[in-house]
Amino acid sequence: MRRTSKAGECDAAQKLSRRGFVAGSALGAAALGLAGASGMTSTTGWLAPALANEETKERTATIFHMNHCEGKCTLKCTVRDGRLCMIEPQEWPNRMERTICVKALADIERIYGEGRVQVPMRRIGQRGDGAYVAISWDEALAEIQEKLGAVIKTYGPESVLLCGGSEQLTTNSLAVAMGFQGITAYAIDGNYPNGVGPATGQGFIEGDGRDLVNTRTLLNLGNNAYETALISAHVLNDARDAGCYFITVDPFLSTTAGKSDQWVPINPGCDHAFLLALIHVVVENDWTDKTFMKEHTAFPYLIESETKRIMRAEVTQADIDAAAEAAAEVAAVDEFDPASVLGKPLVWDNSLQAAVSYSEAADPALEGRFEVNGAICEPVYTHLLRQIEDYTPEWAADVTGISADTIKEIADRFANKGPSFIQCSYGGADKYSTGDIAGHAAVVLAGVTGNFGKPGSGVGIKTASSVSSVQASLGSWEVPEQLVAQSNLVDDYLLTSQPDAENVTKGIIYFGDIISYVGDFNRFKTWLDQLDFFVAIDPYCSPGTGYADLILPACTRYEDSEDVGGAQLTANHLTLKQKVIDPLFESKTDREIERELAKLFGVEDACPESGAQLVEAQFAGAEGLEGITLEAVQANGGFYEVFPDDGVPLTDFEGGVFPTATGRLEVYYEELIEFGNALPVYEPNTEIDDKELRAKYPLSNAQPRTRFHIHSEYCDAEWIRQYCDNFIEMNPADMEKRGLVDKDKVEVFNDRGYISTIVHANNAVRPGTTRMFENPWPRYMDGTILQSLTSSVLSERGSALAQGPMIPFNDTLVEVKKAGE
Amino acid sequence: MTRLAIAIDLDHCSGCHTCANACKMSNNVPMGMLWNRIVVENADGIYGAEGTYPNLVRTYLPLACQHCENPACQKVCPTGATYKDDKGRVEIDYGKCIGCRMCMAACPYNARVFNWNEPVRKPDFNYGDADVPLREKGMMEKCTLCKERTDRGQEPMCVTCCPMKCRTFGDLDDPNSEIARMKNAGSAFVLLEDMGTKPQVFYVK
Repeated sequence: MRRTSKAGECDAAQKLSRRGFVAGSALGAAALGLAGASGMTSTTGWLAPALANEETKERTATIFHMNHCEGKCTLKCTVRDGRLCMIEPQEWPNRMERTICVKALADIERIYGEGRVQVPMRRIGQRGDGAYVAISWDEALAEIQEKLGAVIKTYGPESVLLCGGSEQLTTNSLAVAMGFQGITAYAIDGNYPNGVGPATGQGFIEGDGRDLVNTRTLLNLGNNAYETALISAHVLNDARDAGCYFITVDPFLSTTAGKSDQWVPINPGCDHAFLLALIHVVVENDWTDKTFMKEHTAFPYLIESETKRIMRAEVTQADIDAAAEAAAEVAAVDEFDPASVLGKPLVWDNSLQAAVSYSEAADPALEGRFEVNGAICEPVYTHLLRQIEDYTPEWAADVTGISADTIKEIADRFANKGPSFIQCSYGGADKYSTGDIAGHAAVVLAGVTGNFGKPGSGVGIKTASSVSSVQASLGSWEVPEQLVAQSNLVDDYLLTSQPDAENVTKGIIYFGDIISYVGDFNRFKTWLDQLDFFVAIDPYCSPGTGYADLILPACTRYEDSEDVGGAQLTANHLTLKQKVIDPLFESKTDREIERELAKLFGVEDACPESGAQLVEAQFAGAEGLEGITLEAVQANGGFYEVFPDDGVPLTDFEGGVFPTATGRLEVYYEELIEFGNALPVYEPNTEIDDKELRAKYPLSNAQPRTRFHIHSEYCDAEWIRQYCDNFIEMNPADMEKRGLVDKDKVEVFNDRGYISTIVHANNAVRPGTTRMFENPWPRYMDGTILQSLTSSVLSERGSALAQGPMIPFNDTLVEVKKAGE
Repeated sequence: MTRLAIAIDLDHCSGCHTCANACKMSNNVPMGMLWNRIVVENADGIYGAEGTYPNLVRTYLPLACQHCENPACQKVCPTGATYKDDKGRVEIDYGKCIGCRMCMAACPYNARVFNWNEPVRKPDFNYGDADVPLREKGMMEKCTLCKERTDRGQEPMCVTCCPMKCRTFGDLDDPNSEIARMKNAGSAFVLLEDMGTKPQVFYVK
């Protein structure tokens, strides 16, 4: 039975905007009591005109930009007559580090735009109806004290969830002091890391992009850095200029695919099948690096045939001591349990003709069948050879739509024209339930070909971070010990995709947009409805605010009531978040709001008193930054080179040493034996490979990111909307079959829900699929929400992996029809 | 002589539109108008491509005033409002512009935009470079090569902000400049060469 979303239930923010904020909407303002509360109904009324005869006064200030993009852009902001009038890249010595993108420039309009939350507001209708009345800060705080206090009293502090999107600028001290739940992981963008992490000891491998000039073959799997990492994708240009052959595998001609030497169109959700076939071709032709496999990987480990477990030597005192030392390094010494220490994996030493621990073997066997202590066992590599046998290029051609010859050519190039690097994650397979298998297969492919530990090689992301060869870090604000409560951390897959599973949440304090990253929105809404109290804190009327009982106006990054509100280390520079302008409307900084809330419950001393105190704590806990003071950084305009950049690219896992228990590439995943995935095996996706369902909903929908948005951020920015509206894209052939023409209004639907939007014809979209850039705001889609279509079926393997199960955003089947038919 | 110009490396351009917003900000360009746009060759919309799936090609083409040596716009301007200045830039003397739009029709690059109505700015104050003159209803406007910035010895804002650093600004008449070297490198081309406008802005692939 198809479930329909009530028109307007997700459209609360629009109503807020129309009724409360639109310039000249006097009736709406009066109806909401806005005039009485603040008189601030629009920027037009709020901004005093500069006097014509007044001397123009300009000054500049520095901030770092969005956390979503890891705050890499250090921005120089010009303020004239108290208004932000220009945003430029800060003047880094290295020209390539002077960065800004289309989105930050749109802030010129957005921070003054009609979409700002201007005053505290109280819900007066049903959740999602969008009817609010303006109230004072005092009234808002009193209501929080009363209603959140009641939740805490009835259900305990662990029933309150305090978290937010990554744009929040709080210290999390309130949650720590109150014992609220917080979020430790996000159910998005983590499936490749899930598959990569157990082997390498590091899930998100955000390497040094400068190293790509050493790469000869770059295999890019579904990542679209030219669009999603605008300010760091120049390293891909550098690689291409240096002669790297750049292959992109993607169902769509993405921006990155269009920039590649070779675009390999693939069926959605089958990176893993493609990679398994590459491994097949590599081992069949013995294009392997056996020395690397023997010295740096788990491929020689002996696997007991019956149990599938790694055979191990007896645990020695030295093993326990080493494990205790490793635990102490990560400050987990209290939790160290000597009984949990495992013996070293055994390998078969050809020279001794006996099983010994991997560290003692002179000539470990990769192939063979042995009997050790009465048990039959084989090396991991032998298991791989057997398991990979069926994954022929011809088999993969059927699954992926890539010809067998192309698969063979790419395998040859990857293995024989290295160093080779696999760029994956932050898109692509991350959004399918099988993404972890692809990640696992990627490390196996790089492992068998010896593509780790040397310049230009590896697996991960080279377009994520600004890095420096000097290791340093800032400290953080620490809650005084006597104020620390027992914290109840909860992974957010419970929140965003299984909110009703084992969750006692009754109250939420959420900084940012809570609804844009959920699976199966209609199910999520049922959970939202059972909450006793929900406070949203946001600079903008983002979609999630329309479900809150109370909305508090937050400052943007440009606003502060104090001279400084934080510090960040980016590559070899310290950047301050200086005050650019005073808080607009009645907004307060996240830092101030957090302390105000803490004060309600008597724990305000858990939070920093001021921005300066927060920054002092960051400086006091800094490592590798000795002698640098806040005054010195302020005197330098909030931007300070802390050490010179030697320009030498870093190599991931240099010398083939990995941060795993053995220091080796641990390609065999014992934790997945019960799922049959100790080595990567093919499995179909839950929904898009369901032939029965596909007969009903024949199109698989993908929701990649666009250059114009950061997830759901900037959907409402006028300077962005001039380039990018909200629409779904289809191949013209699929449109013709449905009698659709370009820009038709359509309904996209499945059993979970529907959305209302415009269709664009695009040849770059793979036939049999639809594409909609992620998280368009409901106000532009007749109040419907994209995630009401999204599957929330989670992979069972996910809970055995570090990032938890991911929402399979792209494992979603839909049908499209003309609106009204 | 001086001939200021911009070279754009299309192989490095990712179509990100940062240059378009940088220009809009710095030059106080009103809503509904852009001096600098990005189009995709032979496709509808910036996500489109030329060809049929999977035989597709996509080339982004940032497009603004080409600062021609032989500007068609200047030739048709009845008041002399459009002129070629001493640094080789094509500029508009707003005081002389009568809004006849002859230049708009003459420009083969569709680079000019006209204030059909009172300019609407969001935010509703003058942003950007303080020295940029205001334009009123009935006036033509277009890329000035950031005249005010380049007069002060700075780069145009699109060059400063381009994340790919695919824009190079300089003087074509300075034989030691990077842009002169690029112009002579062999892969440089101009748009609509057969029109005889001799654009100073050029592209490399």
